[in-house]
Amino acid sequence: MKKNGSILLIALALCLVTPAMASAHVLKTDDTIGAVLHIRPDDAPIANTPVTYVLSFQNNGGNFSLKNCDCSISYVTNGKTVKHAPLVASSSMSSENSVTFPQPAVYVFRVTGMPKAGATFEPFMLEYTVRVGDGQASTQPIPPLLWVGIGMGAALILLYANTQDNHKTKPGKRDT
Amino acid sequence: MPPLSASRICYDKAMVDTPDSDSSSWFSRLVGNNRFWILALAITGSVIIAGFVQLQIPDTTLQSIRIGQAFGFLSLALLYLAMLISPLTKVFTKLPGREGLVYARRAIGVSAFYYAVLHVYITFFDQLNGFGGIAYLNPTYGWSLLSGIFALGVLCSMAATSFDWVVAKMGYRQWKMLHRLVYAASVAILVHLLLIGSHFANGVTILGVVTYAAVGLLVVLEVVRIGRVVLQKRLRDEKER
Repeated sequence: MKKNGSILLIALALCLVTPAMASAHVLKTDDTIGAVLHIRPDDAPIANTPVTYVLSFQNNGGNFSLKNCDCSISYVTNGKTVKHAPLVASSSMSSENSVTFPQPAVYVFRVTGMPKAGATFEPFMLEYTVRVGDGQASTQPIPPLLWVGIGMGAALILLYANTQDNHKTKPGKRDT
Repeated sequence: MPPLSASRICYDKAMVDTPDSDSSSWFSRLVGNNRFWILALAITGSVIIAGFVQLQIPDTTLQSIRIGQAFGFLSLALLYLAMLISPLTKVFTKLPGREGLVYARRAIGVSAFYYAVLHVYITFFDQLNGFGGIAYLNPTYGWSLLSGIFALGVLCSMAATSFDWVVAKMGYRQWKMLHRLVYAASVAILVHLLLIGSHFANGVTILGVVTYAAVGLLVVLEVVRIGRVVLQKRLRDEKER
């Protein structure tokens, strides 16, 4: 059981680590056009702080590229458009943009694209829902899933304690 | 017949010797087995992590992103730990708890697979729209997904063959050859990270430095281990001449 103790400590330490690492990506599609949104650096924009984000487009048919697209983005909250701007093309299929949100709220990034002369893709619209925070820790009630996890953890601890007690009280080979 | 390697001895000993328990009941054997505790902790940990993220982050999209990241990180960390045990216990032969670590390695590997499955479920099916979204991903994402799928396939086959009866049926040598695919899987995971992980693709970050240092440590230990095996083989061959 000593072996179990050290293993338990290592495993518990690993299970309790929740770092914010790597980037994450949300894909939205509209018929033949799709784009993955990534907000730098950690997908958690904060109000009154410049936010940089990247849209990586892919076209499933047609000859879409940012050069032959009249592409723009609107930032919408509570049904109102707070800002509208053309997408900045950093490559033919990738757009890197910056924006500063005036206040914390849930914003919809509405990306629209119209084909320029000679382009063969269909007009499209992609929407991403993004919560812009205020940089403060949120306070809310404990979610049910966490209660379940706490219960499972408590049950494991009790079971482990019980097996330790049985191991100590039960006469074994070492006791003779 | 060449002498058995230390890992084989530990493996056979673990298979023959049941963990500390004098009772014949299956329950006593279960709770006396460190593999049970590792797997139970992995499952419990996943629920706690998901619930904790939900507590911290009200936005469901960002919740999904953070949970997916956490599960991916834990899968990588557990896989690394499982891979580290072998060279660590062979290079440092007097390491305390050596037998327990070798015995626990199987459960740590299965836990890595468990977290990998959760990571894939959340990131691929929730954030990237599953199989329908593949056509809309650029080549960078495509290659990253491919390497991730390969790694998951290897972990899946390793987890599926992590039973004593499977080892007996396959034969230890064939089973070992299959499980050596973990090295290919780990390279695929690094490719997966480098292609779409901003902590690796955008300059030097603390996490990137820690990852490279950890990989370096593993490589050094493996080189030392392999060097000793080669040296022992040469000495044996010279004695036989």
